[in-house]
Amino acid sequence: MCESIGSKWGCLEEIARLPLRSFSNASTFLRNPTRSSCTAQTSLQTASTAPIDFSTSPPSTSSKSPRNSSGLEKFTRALLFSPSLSLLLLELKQAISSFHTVPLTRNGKLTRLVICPLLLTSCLISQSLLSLPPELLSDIFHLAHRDTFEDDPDPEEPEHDTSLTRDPICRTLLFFQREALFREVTGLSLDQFKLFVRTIVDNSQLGEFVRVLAAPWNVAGLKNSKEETKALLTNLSHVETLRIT
Amino acid sequence: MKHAIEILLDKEFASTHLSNLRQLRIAEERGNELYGQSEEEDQLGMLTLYPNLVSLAFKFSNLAYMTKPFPTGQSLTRIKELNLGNLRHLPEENAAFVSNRFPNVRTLTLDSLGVGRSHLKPLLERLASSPTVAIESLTLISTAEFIGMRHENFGRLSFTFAEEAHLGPSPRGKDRLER
Repeated sequence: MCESIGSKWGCLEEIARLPLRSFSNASTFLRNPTRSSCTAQTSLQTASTAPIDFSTSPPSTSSKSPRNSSGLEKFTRALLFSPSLSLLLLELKQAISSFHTVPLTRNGKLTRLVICPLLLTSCLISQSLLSLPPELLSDIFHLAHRDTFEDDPDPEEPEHDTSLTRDPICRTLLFFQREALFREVTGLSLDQFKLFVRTIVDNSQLGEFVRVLAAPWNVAGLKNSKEETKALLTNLSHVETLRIT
Repeated sequence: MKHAIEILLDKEFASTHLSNLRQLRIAEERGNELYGQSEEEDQLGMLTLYPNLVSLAFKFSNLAYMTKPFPTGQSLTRIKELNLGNLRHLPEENAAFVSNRFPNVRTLTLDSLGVGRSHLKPLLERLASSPTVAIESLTLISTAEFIGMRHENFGRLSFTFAEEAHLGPSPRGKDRLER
């Protein structure tokens, strides 16, 4: 194991110098089973101070769930282009870099391999998304969703594919995806609002996700009954901002 | 729309639901439901039943033409941010409404569609001299004729230009003044 890490040390350093946006390449490198970097990740599991499980295998609850690997990869790529998430990752990197130093032997001598924060960040995004704590996943999906649907996107950024945050990724992440999707409900057309009302009235659990609702109740043609409107408002148990326009 | 406001102002609903509601914005063609047609029921006062409500915004297109005085009632002491659209033509009424019903408002936005400069100045003078209103931020969304007011002094209130999002479904070209 030590030999393999030593022989690949140059590769790791090379990855460490990559800018954040290049992590899709780094992720590909890490996922390649012919590379020995997976050994380095196995070593990471032995770090007793690790606050986050960097195991490459999904948690037991998700092991029974069908995984959409292509959806996960697409979502991972979307995260890499999320400016808000970049800030979050920067904080993560700083936290990780202060905690994770793993003693290893290299060429027969004990040395301390300072785990590259950038590399760990890449691992976080690409392979261990499923093992992150729920609070962090909630924030990640919120930021990714907000960046995807932001009103004033950066013209230099590649065009966002909104399907990345809409299409189901896997069953384990569906809760967080729905939470982000329903968190801020604004800019709805008449037909979209009708569908939204029907969805929330039929499924009260989804209403609990809504924090902001801009409801076009004033649009001509919208004829909600009083019972339906009351059912909608009742189900919005956690709403903080209500705009009735 | 009418159903939504009726439900929100229903005493039983307000006292048992939406306890996390912090911000409520209503833009409607008719504001009679909220300002109260019935003298027996203080409908606006029902908003005090939402324990976390601190920000209110109204825009009622018929408000400028109402001749009936604003209904008196319970003060909404938790409201810190207030956005009033379509002021009435009675500056005394407007000033009394703000100071009596929203005594703790700190951030005030006034949309003076349909209200002339002669109506707005007395309102600002009253608000500036009111001992009960301590406004820290004042934004005026108004027509171009108010641009000249930017250099005028209303006691504690002064203005600079600023942008603010529209409230309501009918956008129009406006200049904005902000303290």
